[in-house]
Amino acid sequence: MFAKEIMTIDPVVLSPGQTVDEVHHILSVEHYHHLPVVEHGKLVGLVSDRDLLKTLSPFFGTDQESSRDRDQMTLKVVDIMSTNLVTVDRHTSVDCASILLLEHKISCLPVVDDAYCLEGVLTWKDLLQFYVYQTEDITSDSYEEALNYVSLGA
Amino acid sequence: MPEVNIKESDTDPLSMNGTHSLDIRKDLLKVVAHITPPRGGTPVSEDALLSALSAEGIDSNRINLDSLEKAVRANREMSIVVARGLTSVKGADARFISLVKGVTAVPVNVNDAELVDYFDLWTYTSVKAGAPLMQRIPPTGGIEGVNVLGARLPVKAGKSIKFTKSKGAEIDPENEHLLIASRDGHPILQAQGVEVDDMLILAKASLETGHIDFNGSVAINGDVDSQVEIRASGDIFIKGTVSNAKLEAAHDIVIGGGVLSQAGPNAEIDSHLITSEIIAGNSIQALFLNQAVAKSGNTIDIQRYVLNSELRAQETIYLGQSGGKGAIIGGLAVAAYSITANLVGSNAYVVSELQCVVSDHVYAKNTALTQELEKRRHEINELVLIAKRLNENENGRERVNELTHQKLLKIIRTIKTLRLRVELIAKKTDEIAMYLAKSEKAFIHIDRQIYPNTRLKIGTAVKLIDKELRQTRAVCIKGEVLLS
Repeated sequence: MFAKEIMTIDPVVLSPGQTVDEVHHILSVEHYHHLPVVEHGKLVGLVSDRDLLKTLSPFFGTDQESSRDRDQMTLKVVDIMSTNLVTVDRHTSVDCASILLLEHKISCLPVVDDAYCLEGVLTWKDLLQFYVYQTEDITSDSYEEALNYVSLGA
Repeated sequence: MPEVNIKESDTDPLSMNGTHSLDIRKDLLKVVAHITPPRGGTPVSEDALLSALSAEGIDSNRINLDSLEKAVRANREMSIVVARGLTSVKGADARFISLVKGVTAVPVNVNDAELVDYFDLWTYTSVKAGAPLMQRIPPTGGIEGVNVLGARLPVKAGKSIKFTKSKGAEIDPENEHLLIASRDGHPILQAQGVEVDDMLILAKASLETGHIDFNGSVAINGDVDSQVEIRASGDIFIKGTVSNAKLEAAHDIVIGGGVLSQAGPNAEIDSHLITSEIIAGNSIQALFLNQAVAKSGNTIDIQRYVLNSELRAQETIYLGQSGGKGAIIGGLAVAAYSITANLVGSNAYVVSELQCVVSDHVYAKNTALTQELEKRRHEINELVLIAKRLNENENGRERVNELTHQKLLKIIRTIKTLRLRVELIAKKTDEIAMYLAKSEKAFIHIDRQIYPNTRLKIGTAVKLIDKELRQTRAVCIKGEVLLS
């Protein structure tokens, strides 16, 4: 089983120029935990809800909110995103992706193509769903099939 | 009329009592009581009738008490069956139920233009070895009869008919009543068996047969008519000629006759004229090609001539090398390794093009596989680093933590799987590398004559022939086509 078979396709993405305020809105409305940042179609970073929490003042939205706290909301995505990313591709095995996710202590793996264009994201939820509901193992036959698929440039 | 044995109760003609008599049929399957009502005297009693029947030895189980009751109540003369035997029922012969069909009708499919393809009529069945073909229902023993005296009547059992010996089929070792395929092929139904042919053999391919899409090899003993399409997962053998038809085989295509088309390979797409198209995963052999397209995963071997056609072979094109004129007149021939012909072009200086080039698809495949190889190797390195880190964290401890132990096992297994994948990719890239290396020594060899207006291309180098030449060999040296 490969990443392409269980990844979340068409995730909501951010552009580096969007503001923290917009990110805050998206994360609170859509209930996502990670948002890939894409520029000219290529993956350039990742913003997680934890990145946002680190940026936001604990007084934001309270009576004690200061102008400095509000200023934080005008920061750009590029200022808060993580750029040291661990990525996988469509043909990374689910086992390998799971180890990378666990051992790097992250909860989302962007799935990119050869040109580093985003094809989807593989989250801990996708993996959990796979291990709970599907347990088929990759066979050499199916891999050969996949290989033919890759080599045909599909 | 069956013979009867009449037993009368009262023979006195002056008696006023009711009388009865019993007719016992000769076959002992029926007893009829004839009742005469009383004329002032006593009627016939049920006991009297029973006694009479008993006296005749009639089995009490065969007596119908309802009929007896009706008989004694009769107020007019009547005859009634009071005891009945049962005839024996002959057993059913063994019979056979086919579990496969030779062909299956395809539902009529009306396309967007409201047209029906009347060639798309049938699906030719193919079976895998071990597939159930026919079920034998064993004969039955029949049902025993009994006569009115209670004696059993003999019964004839059904005939035991066995499966006939059929090629490609055998009796299931675990079920003597089941015939299974002993090889892959096409099932041909017989009365008491199913033969499995390793190929689908038809006299010809026409509107009558429709398109043929078969999982196995196909042999046509005659011609392939216009508009027929044949697809086979094995080979295709045609004894006759292919006219305006399409053939596609995963392995070889051998055509005893030639291939003809109404229009050449460059016919307009919306033209009503049809171009014959022959596509083989491995090799193609034919007597001649006229305005056709032939694509092969290996070699194309044409004996006589190729007229205004398009030939594309992954490896080699031979013309006339196994006997025959071996001429290419007009059209395009492309192969990666070599093209060998006896004659190219014509007195009319028809434009003909011969190319020894590697398809862009091969380079694209090579690039994709190389990238894939790199990615998987990178993943192996990543996992090795993780495993080392986990191991280092455990160093110095007396006993390795159980969770870490399990993690390491899983990582090692994943690395092993990745290494297998890498081996597989490396094997494929090696094959492509060999293919590309061989294509670097590509050549075009003309054994007898080459006419002007022939364009020779090897790699990226091109040479236009502007005069008639005898035996010629073209190779590419330092980006230039050299003739010798």
